[in-house]
Amino acid sequence: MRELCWSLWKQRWAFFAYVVMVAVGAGMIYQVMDGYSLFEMGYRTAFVLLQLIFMLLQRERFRIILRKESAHRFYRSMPNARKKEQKRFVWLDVYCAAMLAVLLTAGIIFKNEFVDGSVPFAMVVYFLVYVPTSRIIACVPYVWWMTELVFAAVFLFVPAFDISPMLCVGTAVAVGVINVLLYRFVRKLWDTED
Amino acid sequence: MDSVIVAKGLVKKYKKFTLGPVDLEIPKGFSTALIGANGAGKTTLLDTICGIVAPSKGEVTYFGEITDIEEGETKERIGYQAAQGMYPMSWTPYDVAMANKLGFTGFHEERYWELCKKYGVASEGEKKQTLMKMSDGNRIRLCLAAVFARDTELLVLDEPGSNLDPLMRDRLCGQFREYLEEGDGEKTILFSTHNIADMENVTDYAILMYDGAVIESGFVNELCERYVLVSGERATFDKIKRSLLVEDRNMSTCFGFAKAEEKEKLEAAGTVVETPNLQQLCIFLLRYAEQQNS
Repeated sequence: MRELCWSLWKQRWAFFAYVVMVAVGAGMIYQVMDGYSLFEMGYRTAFVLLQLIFMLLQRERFRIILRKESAHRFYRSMPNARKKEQKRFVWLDVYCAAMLAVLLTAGIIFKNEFVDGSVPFAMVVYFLVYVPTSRIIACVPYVWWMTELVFAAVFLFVPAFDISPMLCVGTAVAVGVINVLLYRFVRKLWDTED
Repeated sequence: MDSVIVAKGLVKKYKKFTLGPVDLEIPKGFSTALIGANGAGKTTLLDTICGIVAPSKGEVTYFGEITDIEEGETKERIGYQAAQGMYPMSWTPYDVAMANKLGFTGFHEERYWELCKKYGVASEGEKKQTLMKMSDGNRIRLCLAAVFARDTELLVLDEPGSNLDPLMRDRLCGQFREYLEEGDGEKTILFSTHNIADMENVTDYAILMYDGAVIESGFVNELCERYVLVSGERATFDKIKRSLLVEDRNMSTCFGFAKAEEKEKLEAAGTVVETPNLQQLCIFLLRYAEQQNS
């Protein structure tokens, strides 16, 4: 049973990709049935996928940082070093999944509708706060962060998206705080567990 | 001889370098020096022994019974200090203290700050100066403070004397003696060096390495008695050439190195025969290994 669970866990990203594909496919069918044009449908789907891709990129950055950190001889000299290293990566996945859920929920709750406008809104939140706070907590490359901030500014001031700047800033602060707290919590878990 | 570590057929393969197969024993209650030139495999051997890297082949037995370093509290009993890359460069002395506190149950924070102060590397609670901003010598001092602040039975130190000023090296030798005396035969030190002159007075047992292999090992006195240092005139050296392992004829007085069995023969030939000290022994043995290899 334990081996089966472990092999399923190792395949988790394949399952995740499968779920995303089904969700996106269902979303596209729903949109077509609801009378959206092909352009609108493609544009909205692209945003959802972009957000997922950015999240995965962010996960990769953390993984690189973690791997570098674990490579330091001090970590390897600690008792149960290899077990701890594996657990850190598990905790990283938990963190990324939780953060993705927070981002999507923020988009849904604050705009109250997922399809119309909330996707670019969630992107703004992501770019404006999640990325900068992630930079602070995990030292991601500065240039990358600046590029993403420029994207955020573009999204924020495109009138077609009809996004309230105040709502954006408010949500952004909330998501930023959640990000830092969640990261600190997860970090504490992987640092203190045996 | 009680051994704290026994390695059998230990091999670690990298793309351009292979360590071993190495068979060795580290005697319990003594200070053992791992001596070799740069790139001889000292760090690889220490890393493999301490579980920093996994061996490709072979087995290591710790404290007479444990074969898996990840088993139980084995790593708690071993204090490891790397020559470089021990801690992330963005850490401060405070971070080092906190990480050690989290990682090891036998870490004494008070002792750590005392040692930091004694070594002149940081004041208590130092949170501003990162390792990046420290000199190489101060980084080593900080690592030494952290490792000596733990309750351990075996210290494995990679190049602890490198980058240290003579005064600090002397203090380190004192710390070695103190550690061994405290242990009363139960505590052991294994350290690597490529400059044995600085640490000769704290070396009880020596292991010499060349190109990934152990070429000689033993207690310093016994080891030095296995060989003789020969000096004499050029003409005499022509007669005893076959008895010498290594010879140095660049000076007016020639020097050579031979096995102790040849002593009588060499003396009869009219050369001066002496027992070498550890540094002389290392130089000639490493030259001999190089000569055999070329």
